[in-house]
Amino acid sequence: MSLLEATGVTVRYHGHDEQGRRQLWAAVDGVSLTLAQGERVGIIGESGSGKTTLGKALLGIEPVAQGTILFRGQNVHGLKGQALETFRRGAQMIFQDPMGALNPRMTIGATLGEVLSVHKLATSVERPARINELLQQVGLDNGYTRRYPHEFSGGQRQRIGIARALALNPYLLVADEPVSALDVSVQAQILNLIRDLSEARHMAVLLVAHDLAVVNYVCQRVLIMYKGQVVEEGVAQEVFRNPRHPYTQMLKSSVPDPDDIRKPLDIEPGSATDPALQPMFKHAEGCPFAPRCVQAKEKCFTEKPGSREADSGWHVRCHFA
Amino acid sequence: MISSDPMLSVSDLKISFSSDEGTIRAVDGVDLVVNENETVALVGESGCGKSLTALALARLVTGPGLSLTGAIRVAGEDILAMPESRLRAIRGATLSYIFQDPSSSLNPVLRVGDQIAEVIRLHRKVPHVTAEIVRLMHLVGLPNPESRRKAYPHEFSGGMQQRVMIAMALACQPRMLVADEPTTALDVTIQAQIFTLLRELQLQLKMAVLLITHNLGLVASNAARVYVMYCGQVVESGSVEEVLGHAAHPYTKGLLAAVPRLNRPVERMKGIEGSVPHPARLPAGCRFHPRCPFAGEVCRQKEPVMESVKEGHSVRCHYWKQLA
Repeated sequence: MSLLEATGVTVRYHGHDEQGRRQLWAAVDGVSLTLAQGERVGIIGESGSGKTTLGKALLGIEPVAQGTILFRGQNVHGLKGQALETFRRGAQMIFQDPMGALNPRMTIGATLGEVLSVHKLATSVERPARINELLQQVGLDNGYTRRYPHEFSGGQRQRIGIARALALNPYLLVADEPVSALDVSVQAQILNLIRDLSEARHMAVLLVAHDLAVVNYVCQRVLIMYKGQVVEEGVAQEVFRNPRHPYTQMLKSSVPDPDDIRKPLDIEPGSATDPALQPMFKHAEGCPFAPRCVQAKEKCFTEKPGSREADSGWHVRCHFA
Repeated sequence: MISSDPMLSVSDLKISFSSDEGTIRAVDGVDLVVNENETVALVGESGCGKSLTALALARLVTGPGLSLTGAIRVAGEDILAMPESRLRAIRGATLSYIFQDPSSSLNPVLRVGDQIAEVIRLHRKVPHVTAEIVRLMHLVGLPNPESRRKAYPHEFSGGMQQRVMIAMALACQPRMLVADEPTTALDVTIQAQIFTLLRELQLQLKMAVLLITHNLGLVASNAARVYVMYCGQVVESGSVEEVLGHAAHPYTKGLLAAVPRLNRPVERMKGIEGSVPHPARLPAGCRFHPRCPFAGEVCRQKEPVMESVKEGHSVRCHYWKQLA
């Protein structure tokens, strides 16, 4: 049995169309996803692609309009009481801005202690030892328990966020852009920590990120999202080595690589192919990516592509890929 | 000005502030040169002094107990010695900036066309300002400039807002453009478009560009030379081929090893131990020694000076020869 099994998840928000009429639009549009125990999956997308909303929906934080989410065989939405608490222990989240995710008026010891006492995981006598153990697991000195969040660097704060998630021994860690606010030299430390913890504890990780190389480093599988839909899904290294969807190809060619010296980025100049320019209600017909796609043909503007298996475990949503 | 003079030269720039914890030496003896039609990158992590160095070029630095010494010459003129009136004439005309966050750099209650017009009216005598706005918006790839010039900043996406900022920065055909993390807030595809645009415009205008960034990939694809900063000092400088291809400083090596790559097999990244020290509590000797895997006794005691590795490649490290 998979740890997490999401089928046709759709999240809708109210928005206004060009005439100013109130309309519903799908931020996440029929996404299916499975996560095995201990598996690390990345979700890649640009701002507005729905990647963060999907992460939240899977944790039951965002209401789902359609679709089902099973976590260890139980439907996540509609959980109450004891079952809800058990689910929340099992699926934890860390955020992009670790300062915003920590209470500035609570010491680190109090922050971690609160989690343990709310979920009744340690008595007041056991707590200090458990807190020290958690700090040690994320590579922090246990003398830090009396300090406040502002006394730490960004990387250390992210470690504290991870320690707080680990306090509940989760089966799943959802990490939403966990390193994009950190300095380059510290990013590698945090990515290594996430990878090591996942392996040591057999903890699944859902890594939401915009950085292809970060996902390539941490995850076994990847989902590429565009306008709420998964446009490509497969083994991370294979998808990034030889992307099949024109959007994934475009993303890959946009990433500057420190090893490619004086090789200008491979992008059409001048043309404003800004996704925000395309009204969100207009893609009722055709492929949502067609207006930006260099390979688009007539069919792409009239017919919505379905997702098909291009190779074993490799799904692409494109008429021509 | 003699044409062989660099467009920008900074020598022994020192910027310090006073704080409760003592003097903060935020920039400590930076030397920097950018030539006409050249893109030079200034690389470093948060707090290394790269943005302060950039702001100092137009004397835009303020703060408690500010002390700013050294020499800055832009297009042959001495920035630190000139009167405020001359400085105002230069800012936005000879020397202009693009900052990281366009939404906080644009005035939210003014139409974008009017904001571009302000730069033109201040510095140039153009009979048809509207036509010039339309031309500039077209130049930076903003669609439908005739109607979109009447839009407000919130009606644009981040990428489009940054194009407005670039239109403003280029309105007076600057000879020196400072781009401080110009695409950090944008998606990668939009980032690639912005840099393609900047490169085209540089070809047309022969601008000198100082690119401030923490992204080594952008350095590789855009700059000819690079300065790497750590704790207020330049620790390595040279051509991009030399510095990224044959890094001599342990910090530069560490940074390169800490960036995950798409085109390489996924091996374990090393990263750099520890984190950047507080600017009021800089370590003695080499500022990088507490994080350096190669640090020896001399690194703890004696501050290294810039040494030449080869023509146009310099490094601030006691052990660079042994590490080569």
